[in-house]
Amino acid sequence: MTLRLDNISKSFGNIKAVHELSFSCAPGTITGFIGPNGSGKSTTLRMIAGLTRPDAGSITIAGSPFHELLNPGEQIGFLLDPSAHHPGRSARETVTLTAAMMGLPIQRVDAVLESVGLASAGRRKVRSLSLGMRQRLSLAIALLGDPKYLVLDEPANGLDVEGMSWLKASIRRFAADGGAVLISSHLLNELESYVDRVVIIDRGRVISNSSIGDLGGTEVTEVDGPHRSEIRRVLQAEGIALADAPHSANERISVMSSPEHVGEILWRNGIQVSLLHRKPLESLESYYSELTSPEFAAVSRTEEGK
Amino acid sequence: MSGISSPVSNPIGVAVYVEMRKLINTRSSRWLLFSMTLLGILMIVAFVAVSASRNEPIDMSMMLAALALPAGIGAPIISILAITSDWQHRDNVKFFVLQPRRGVLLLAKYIAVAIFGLATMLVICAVAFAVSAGFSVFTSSDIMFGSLSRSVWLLVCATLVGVMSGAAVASALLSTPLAIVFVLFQSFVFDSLIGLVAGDATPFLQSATFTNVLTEGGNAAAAASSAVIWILIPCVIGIWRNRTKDVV
Repeated sequence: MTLRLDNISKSFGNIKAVHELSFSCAPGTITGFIGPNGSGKSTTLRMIAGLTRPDAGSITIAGSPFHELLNPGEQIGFLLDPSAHHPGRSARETVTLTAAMMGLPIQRVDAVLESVGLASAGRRKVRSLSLGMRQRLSLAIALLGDPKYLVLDEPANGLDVEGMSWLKASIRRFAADGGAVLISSHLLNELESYVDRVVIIDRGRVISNSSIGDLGGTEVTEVDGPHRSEIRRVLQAEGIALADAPHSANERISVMSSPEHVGEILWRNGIQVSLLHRKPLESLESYYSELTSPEFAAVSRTEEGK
Repeated sequence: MSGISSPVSNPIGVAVYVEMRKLINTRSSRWLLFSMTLLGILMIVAFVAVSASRNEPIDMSMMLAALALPAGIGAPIISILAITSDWQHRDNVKFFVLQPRRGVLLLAKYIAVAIFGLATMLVICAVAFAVSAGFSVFTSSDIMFGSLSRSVWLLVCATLVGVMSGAAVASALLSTPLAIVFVLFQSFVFDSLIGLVAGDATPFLQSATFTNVLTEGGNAAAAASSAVIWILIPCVIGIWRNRTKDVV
């Protein structure tokens, strides 16, 4: 009963937005989905929602493709874009239309508006709601069908401090009741405090998929020497993952391994080393920074082919 | 959590209900409906006033035939707004997730705008009868019904063909301004200019031929050609685009 993505790929023109991406979200867990701007997060979430078709690969929800779900809103709730509501409709009417589509009774509309703190704003037009209130409205719609899965794209945008705590508590409660949550966010410190797993993508590829507890055990070593390209070649040949794509030939190299192991490999291959340094990873944020490129991340096919 | 996913009992019926509701639940849609009805009522009043000033009986048949003109223009506009609204306001992010079979949603929109257009015409016809009857009693003038059924048929055809052509173009273009400009160009520019260059082929190419043949009879092949060019082809393109277009 998981949300599973198997080798999905998607290109827009010559831009490869997502490349052979795979991971899954199990019931009762919260999975953080993070990556730089343009890394393919939103495209991936839209593919889960059936709004964008993958060029390859498959996505299943409890074993079924999204388009085969009988009443998708009762299986999976989405918060993808807080602005995706007609600005001229009231908040309550917006939720009422959604409830009608799902065949739900009208009482459910008031209950869910109450649960997200919008009961008193139900008559207000969407255009007059703040970003935080529109996030709450979108979450109300996602929760309306009492689903088993939640997919949330930057749900904390625009929320105040109270809203953030409320969101965190709501997500925790949802997972504690057996639901699976996939949440993308740039607020890594916040995310770290309540997710169970974290999937990091960069340039459309999964570069890390581990439980939040395992991140502490990850070792990153910074290495340098007069022949950097040779160091890279040898370490990659030995199956050592580069922690960060080099942005210039003058940068030191970070690898996902211990200094002892890296030093042993380089010594065995007779490569001169001027620096071998264990980098501390104290948080999800530092781990993320090591792994991802700070540049705009989408990679073109031609660039990839070089 | 519900644990059990139950299918919506009548997905197309539910979607039609939602689309009908979306047609009247915003201020802009209510203004459009109000403007259309007001235009119809103004035409009725003008017609009655002209008949009275000439001391002629009110010809209901002619009045309804005259109403076919605003129906032919207003119906496509209503359907364009209905079909493109979700794309313009990104509401489809929400509705496509609730009903992944996008063809069902598009069909529901077609049905909803057709019902809405006909209902609007029904209201305007009722107003026409009421105003005429009231005026007749007030001024002791006569009402002539003439070929009433033919005029009602004309009104129904103008409305339905207008709704369908607007919906087809809108679903193919998925843009409110583009679709409105296209429909106005098609009705007021293309239909006139094509006659200058197409010779005998003109009726086969004009968009108005389909409605004209339905209401007055004529060349069935030309009507079929007109319907294929201006309704069927845009409709097929529209179904394909709605089903396959990525929502990004």
